[in-house]
Order: sequence, then structure tokens, then C-alpha cells
Amino acid sequence: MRSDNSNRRRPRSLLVIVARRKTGLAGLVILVALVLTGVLAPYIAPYDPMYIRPSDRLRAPDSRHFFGTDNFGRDILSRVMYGSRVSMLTGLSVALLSGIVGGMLGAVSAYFPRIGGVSMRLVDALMAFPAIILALFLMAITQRASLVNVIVALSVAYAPRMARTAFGLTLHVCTLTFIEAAEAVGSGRVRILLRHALPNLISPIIVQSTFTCALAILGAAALDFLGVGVPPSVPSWGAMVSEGRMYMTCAPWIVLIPGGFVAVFVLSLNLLGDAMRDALDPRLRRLR
Amino acid sequence: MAGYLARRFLAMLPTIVIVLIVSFFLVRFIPGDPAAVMLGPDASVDQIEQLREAMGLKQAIHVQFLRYIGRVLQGDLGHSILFHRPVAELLVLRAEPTAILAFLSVVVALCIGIPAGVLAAVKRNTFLDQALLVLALAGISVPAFLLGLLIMLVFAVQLHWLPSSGFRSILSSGNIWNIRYLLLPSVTLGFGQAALIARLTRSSMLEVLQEDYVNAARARGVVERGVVLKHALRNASIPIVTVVGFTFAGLLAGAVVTETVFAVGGVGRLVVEAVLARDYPTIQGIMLVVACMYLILNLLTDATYALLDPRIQYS
Amino acid sequence: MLRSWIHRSPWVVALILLVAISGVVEAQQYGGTLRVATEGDPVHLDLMIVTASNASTIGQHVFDTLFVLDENSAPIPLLLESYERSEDGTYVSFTLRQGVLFHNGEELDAGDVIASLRRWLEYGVRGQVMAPHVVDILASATDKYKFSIVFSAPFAPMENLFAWNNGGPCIYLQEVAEVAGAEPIAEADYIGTGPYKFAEWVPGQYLRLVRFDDYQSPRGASTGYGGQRNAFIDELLFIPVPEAATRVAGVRAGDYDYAIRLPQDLYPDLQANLAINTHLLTPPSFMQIFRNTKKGLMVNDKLFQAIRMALDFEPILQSTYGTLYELNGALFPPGSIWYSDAGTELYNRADPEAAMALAREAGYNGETIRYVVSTTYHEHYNTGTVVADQLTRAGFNIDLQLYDWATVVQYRANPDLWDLFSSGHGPVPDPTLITCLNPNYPGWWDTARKTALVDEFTTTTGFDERYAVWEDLQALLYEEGSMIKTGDGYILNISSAERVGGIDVEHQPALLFPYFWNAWMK
Repeated sequence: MRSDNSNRRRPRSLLVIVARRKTGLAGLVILVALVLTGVLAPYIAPYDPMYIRPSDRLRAPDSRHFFGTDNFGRDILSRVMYGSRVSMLTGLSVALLSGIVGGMLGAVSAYFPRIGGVSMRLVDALMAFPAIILALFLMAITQRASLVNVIVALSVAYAPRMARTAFGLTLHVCTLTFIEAAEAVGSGRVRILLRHALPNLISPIIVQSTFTCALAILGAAALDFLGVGVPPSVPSWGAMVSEGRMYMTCAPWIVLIPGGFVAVFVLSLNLLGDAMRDALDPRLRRLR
Repeated sequence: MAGYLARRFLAMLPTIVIVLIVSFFLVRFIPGDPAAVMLGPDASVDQIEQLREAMGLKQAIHVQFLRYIGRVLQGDLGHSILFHRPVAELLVLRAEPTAILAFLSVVVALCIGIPAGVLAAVKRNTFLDQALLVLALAGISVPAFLLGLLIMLVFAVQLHWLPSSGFRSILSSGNIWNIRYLLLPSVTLGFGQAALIARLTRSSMLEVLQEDYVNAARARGVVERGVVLKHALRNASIPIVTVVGFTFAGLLAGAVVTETVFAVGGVGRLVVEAVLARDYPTIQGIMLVVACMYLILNLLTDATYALLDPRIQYS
Repeated sequence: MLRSWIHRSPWVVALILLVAISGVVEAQQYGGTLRVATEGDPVHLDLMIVTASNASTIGQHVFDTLFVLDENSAPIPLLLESYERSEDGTYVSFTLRQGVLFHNGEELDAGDVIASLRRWLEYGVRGQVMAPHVVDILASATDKYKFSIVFSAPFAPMENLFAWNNGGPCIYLQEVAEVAGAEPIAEADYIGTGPYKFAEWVPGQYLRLVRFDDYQSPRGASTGYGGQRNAFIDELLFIPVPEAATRVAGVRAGDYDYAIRLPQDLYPDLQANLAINTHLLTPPSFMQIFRNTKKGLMVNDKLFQAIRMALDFEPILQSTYGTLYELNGALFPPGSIWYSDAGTELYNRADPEAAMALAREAGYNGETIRYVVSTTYHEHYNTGTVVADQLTRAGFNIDLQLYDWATVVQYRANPDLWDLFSSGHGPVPDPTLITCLNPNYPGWWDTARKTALVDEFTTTTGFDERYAVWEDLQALLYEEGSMIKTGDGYILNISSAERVGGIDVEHQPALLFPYFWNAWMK
């Protein structure tokens, strides 16, 4: 059982708790910096990210172009700044959607086996569909390539994983003593699920979500390049990596720089995720 | 337990029916014409129509569907439009490298990931922990083709230790050394998976290491290493088993990028090729087989939960 | 004096002779396996009904055509001993070479040719160009090596069409051709008369051809695809390697000996690498921008002219071909017998202001122009991106629609769905093979003037007369046609300098469909 102290600490800023750990702070700072870059991109980007100038193509980073130019002569720094909006939005939306929907679905399925019988069958069926087919299908229905299509297609593709994880974990958690104790005391099943079982799912789900986020960014890139992702008027890190791979040996900065940004973004998410997990996980609190 | 598994097995059938129906209609919704793709860029509209007729694509859609179901029930998954051979034969052919690749990369991932995760958990918040964190993140954020290309350039182009790409069948040639074609791709894939496994192991171990039964073991005088390995790891394995389960399943559907970079003709590559060519029978065949495999794998995963944690009971 | 010198130093002489002979012997030896890294598996090898280049590249080793192109893209006989046109040009009689064997041992005779031609005329992609002009194909009653074709009017492109195996009349066995329809022939029927025979195809792994030991090579010096063909190499392996960087790495690592279609931007590095030979395929290819002349905004000729006027082709070509391009508005490259600058004063005006003025004069008011481009092929995508950008900056309202190739092919067949679309075009031996001249090809250029010129072009014999008509036709294309040409671009292939010889040598340049007879493994 949790001590009373912790109940008073929790409503106070989650942010404060996270910030107390150095790595969490680092993650938060990097994430905020990236988000700000995206938000302020129209004001701070040195060039129009869509400005095509083939006479400047494939230039290595220099004084005029801090990160060099791509195969159309577009400035990579500007594209990376604008690209952060789409990429972070995609990654975070997919991670959130698949994490919440998938997680809830899995937990409920495990805890209420009769619902679970049906719902997990549907989840299994869904896992058979590769994201590319889903994305093509959505594009066909809506008659356009759009960011919403990409997010929905990828969320549907990744949610089953989350559901399976949550399912397995909930099964395990249900065997733990304090659940039995709560049942014995007469707590309602839904209440048990929400107050006791779910908090124990949070840390693996957070860890998994950060990976889903990275996978979503790169998955969106593959869809972009096949023509079923966002329209090309919208730069994104993943698409830059995907389109630029042909020029890897003669102009590696086209791939390495957006790829680097993806890595930094994932790093910051992980650091933040670790810190959040340490703050939220009931059992780990004892360590502080 | 046996009864539970049997019931789960029966419950697979409705899922398979759903997959059959949805996959058939879903792919035909997508614009694009397999006949046009086959004839190539310079064919005229008349020729395309002629070929569509010959391919049976002009029949009413419910007629096409019923004929398809009929054939599936007889074990005939249809004929690939793109490759002109039975879909079943094609799947077996392409499944070989994918299956071996999936297995090898999971082995690589486990061999790197679990020790790394355990180490990071035990040495929590030290420099080693942070270093492993960064390394793990490198594994997941470096684009697969970048990693693959680097590995290829070092080990194949410079050192000539292994072939750079391609694949030759082991089963039909009987030559076990053909597995060398899959070593570089396995390492590439495994490295990425190792990151997730390492992180999960770490977080899972951290929780378990606080449990009472672990402290009890320590109190009993069990050596720390025994505590970690025998008591903690076993219970931390649940989420790892889940992840391995669907990582393996996901890899069975093919790791498209790795297969593309290393020119391994596997199932992942087949999905993309079939979709781009609108090869309906192949797409449907793949989805059906993959769905069945997921279901079987899920069964196995659930059975493994029960083995690892005797308290899990299936009603 | 020479004799005394030989007497005095016989060893030196012997040494010199030995070196000379070994120099010859080291070249051109039999044996070995050539591993070719391609972009992907061909869909099939029934060459009559497929126009993708990798099918032609592989299939040309297995199947022969009646004629073949030499190093100047002129047709010369391959399976024919001789042929003769009648005075009025409507009756052509052919005599086949004797003793030419199929891979199953049967001898080639007129029955095989007639059956193949019939199938091609009905179902072959390029057959539809000739079919309306053919009255009948007749076997000879007395000679099994002779046959003749009756045309409704003199058909000048005949030799060129017979020489072009891409969607062209390859010769199959009579029993195979007679039953073949719209669907591709089976693998078991890949039996031709070429220097290599089909052995095995494992999709996703390799396609294997082996030397046909009883191959009867045509005589004469090797020139282009024609002349003497020696199958020095035992076995040809075509391996699908989808990633370009992997194809290059594989040649460097020693896993492949030849690699097809690499990004042109890699050319400087590859050229500098002494272990690698680069091959620029001749003649060059080009990208096209088509307009919909049937329906929609682009029916307006003036608007079409305005679009072309706005474009600056050099940056478009740079983004597509790196440094391997040439500004050329003629549909054939300089040096080709069909090269002409007729109409090209309208090429590469690069004047966006004048273009917009012309557009407004044409009645353009900022309406949306739908431009469909494929993402599957990077040349299409790169061209489309820069074109859309230039047109947008000129003031046109361009809706760039990107789809995968299968979708593009379906959309472009429907005149309600697009105003402009882009695709590529390879070099062809005869202007009748240029796709926009076919009224059924998307774009649907079908005016009375054009039909008249095409008919005249097809029925005129004699090169000078044909050339004059072609000049008029090209000028008409610029005036009212359905297609804008962007310029010439070169496809880049590579081979291992250390392991392969005889490729891309004098009289046997690297042509659009790379061939591997007369090549050898060192």
C-alpha cells in the first residue's frame, strides 16, 4: 500500500519531479528545443524549405547552407526545421494513439476474458495487415494523400503490438498479491483495473511507446516515398532520409542530418520517458 | 490448459474468415491495374483491357470472391499475377530466407539485448547504464539501411569476409554454407531489435529487483548473481517474451528495408512488390498466411507465459 | 637480315611471339559465370507483350528477331538470309537462314516465323503499329525457309519494327506461338534461337541462362546488336538487387560483375575508381511531359505552348541526370539519322513572364492544372518535382499528384483525371515507335494533320523522303502535339574492370539493352 505522503506529492508538478533527475531534465530540454524549432520554423529558417535551385544541388555544408543542400538544391537546415513539425507530430500522435487505444484494449481484454476473447481475435486479424496496404486503402477512400491518413494507418499498424504487450502484462499483474487483496476487500473490478493494474503497465508501455514513436517516423518515410504518405509539399525527417539514400555515397549529409535529428528526438523521448516512469511507477518510488 | 489451447485454436477460425474477406475486398479498392503494370509503360488501353479479360479480372466481384473461397478451401491459394506461379509455391520459396533471418536476428538481439539490459539494471544510474542507453538508442534510431550499408561496406567490400548481398536457397541446394548470405542482414536487424529488448529487460528487471521475493532470496543468503539470474530474470521475462513473440511475428512478415538493402528475396520484399504490382492473389495469400502465423505464435506466447509464471491460470 | 636475326636470337623471337600470342589468348577465353545485378526481376520473358527494359535485356539472349540494330541504330538481318520488296512496295518476300536451331534442337522454318508474327500482330505491344497495314502473311508452298508479307501500302518502318525486340516480334516455336494469346507464355516455352538458353528462374534470387552449344551465329563483323555473336561466357546470372547502393557495393566487393542503372550522381566517383568501368548507354533516353488533348484545360494549344515556354530545362535535367545530360529538343540525338532541329526554336525558351502572358491570352485564369507523377521511378519524380516548382513560380496553379506507378498507369488512361503527366521514353530506331504518335496513347494526339503526316511517313519509302516528312512531323509536334521533351539523359551501368572484358568496345557500344555475347570473363 502506498504511504500517504506520496498522495500529497503527486498532484504537485510532475514536471518538478522529472526535472529533479538530470537525465530527465536533459530529455525535457532537448524535446522543448526541438518543439520550439518546429513551432518557430517559419521565423527562424534561413530559406524556404521548398525552394528548388538545382544549380546548388548536392552541396556539402558550408557558410551559405549550414547543413548543405539536397538533390534539388533545397537547404537542408530549413527542411529539417520544418520537417520537425510533421515528424514529431506523426511520431507522437501514433505513439499516443496506439499506446492509449492499444494499451486499454489489451488490459481490458486480459481482465475481462469474455470481452477479451472477441477483441483479441480482432487484434490478431489486424496484425496481418501491413501498414502499406492500410495506407493505400485509406488513400483510395479519401482520394488524397494526407498526414491524417498516415497517422491513422500507422496507429492501426502499431496498436496491436501495444495491445498484446498490455494483455500479457495485465495477465501477469492480475496474479500479484495486492490485486487479490483488493478483490478480497470488495473493490469493483473496473476500479481495480484503473487504480491498481494500470499503473503497473505504465512503465513498459512508456518504454514501448518511445520506440513506436521512432518507428512511426521511419515508417511514415517509407509510405511517403511510395507515394501514399504526406504530399511532397510537406518536408519530414523520415522522407528526407528515405529520398536521400540514393545519394548516400556522394552526399551523405542528406541522410545523416535528418537521421541524426530522429536519433536525438528519440533520445530525448527516452530520457524523458525514463524519468516519467520513475516518477509514476508506484513501486519504484520506494527507491527515492 | 490443454482445453484452453484447444478452444483458442478453434477461435482462430473466425479471425481467418475476417482476414479472407477483408483482404479480398480491401486490395481491390486500391486504384491501380495489374494488367497495365504487366504490359509495361508503352501499352495501349485496348491491350490492357484484353489482358484484363484474359486474367479474369472483368468478372463480377462477388463471382471472383466465391471462386477464390472455393479454391482456398481446396488448398489452392491462387496464381500470382506477377510471378506466374502458384502463390503457395511462391510463399514457400520466399519464406525460407525470411524465416531464417527472423530466427537469427532474434538470437542476435537476445544475445546482445538481455545481458545489456541486465547489466544496465544492476548498474543503475552509473555511467555504464547511460552508455548502454545511448548505444541502445543508436540501434533503434539509425535507419536500418544506413546500418546495413555500413555493415556491408566494412565486412563485405573492405574485408571480403562475407557476401555483400543476395541469397541462395539452403533447402533446395542442400548447401548449409549458403547461410552466410544471411549473416550480415541478421546482425543489422538484430542490432535494432536488441535495443528494445535491452530497454525492456532493464525496466523489467528494475521492478522485479524490488520485489519481496528477491529481498527474501538475498536474506536467505543467495549470492547476488544467483538472485539476479535465477529469481529476478525469470520473472522479468514476461514482457520480454511478449516482445520476442511479436518481433518474431513481425519479422516473419518480413523486414522490408533490410531485405531490400541486402537483396534477400523474402516475404517482406514480396509484400511490397505484390502491392506495387497489384498482384491480388499474392497479397491475399500473404495476409492469410501471416494471420495464421500470428495466431499460432500468440498461442505459443501465451503458453510460454504459463510456463514462466505458474501463477497465471487460464480459466 | 631478319632471318639472320632470328637465327642469332631465337629465344628473343620465341619470347616475343609468346607474349604476342598470350596477349591474344588472355583476351576472349571461354568459361565463367557473369553475375549481373539488375533492379529487379522481369515480370516474364514473353518479350512480345512486355516493354520493361529488363525483360528485353535478359530476353534478347534467348530470343531472336528477324532483324537487329547495328551500332548506328540501323536494322540489319539476323535470322534472314535475304529479303526483297516488290516494285510497288506492298509485297515483301523473305528467305530465312538455314540450319538455325531452336534450343530444343528443332530447325527454324517459316512456320515458326509466321505463327510468331501472327501472334505479335494481334497481341504484341508494338504489333499494333504494324497490324493495320498488313493484309496477310503467306507461307511458301515449295520452300520451308521462305515466306512473304502482303501490305496494304508500302510500309517503310518494317525493318525497324522487326529489329526492335521490346514488345517486338521475337520468334517462338510454331506450336508455342499458335496457342499463345494475351497472357504470357509459360517458362517451359522460353525456347528461342539465341546464343543462350533459359535454364532456371528463382524469383527473388536469380534468373539463369546457359550457353546454347549449337548456336548458329550470324556472320559478319560484330556491330551493335548484330554481326557475329560468340557466347564465350558459360552462364549468365541475373540477380535482382533493388537498392542501387547495394549494386555498386556488390561490384566492388566482387559479388557482381555488372550492375544496371545506377544514380547518375555517382558517375564522378565511379569513373575515378580504376577497378570499375562505367558505361553510358547510347543512344540517350528522355523524360516527357504529356498533356491531355481530349478533355480539360490542356486541350487549349496556346496554354500548352505557354507551359513549355515557362520551362527552363537545364535544372530539370540536372536534377534527373546529374551531369549526364544534354539539352536537345529534337526527338533523336545529334548523330542519329533522324536528328532534325525542326520545331526546336520552341524548345527551352525559359521565359516565365512571356509564358504567363501567353497563358492569359489563352484565357487561363489561375485554374488548377492536375499534374500526375510517379514516385516509383526516381527520374519521373525528380523531373516532376522541378517542373511543378518552375510552373508554380511562373504563376500557374499546379496540383502535383504523386502516386505509385500502378496508380499512375490507371489514372492516365482516364481523360477525366489529369491534365499533365510525366513518364520516360527510351531511344527507338524509328519515329513510328515514339509513343505520342499513337493516338491511343494517353495524351491522345489525334488531329487530321497529324494522322495525315503519320500515314505519309509510314507509306513513304526511301530515306530522304521519309526524313523530310519526319521533319514536318516533329515541327507539328512542337506546334500542336501532346508531349514536351525535356532533354537527353544517359543511363549509367558499371562493370568490373578486373573481371570482365569485351563490354562496351569499339563497334559494340553499351546500348539500351546491354548484351553479353562477345564478352568474356578474365
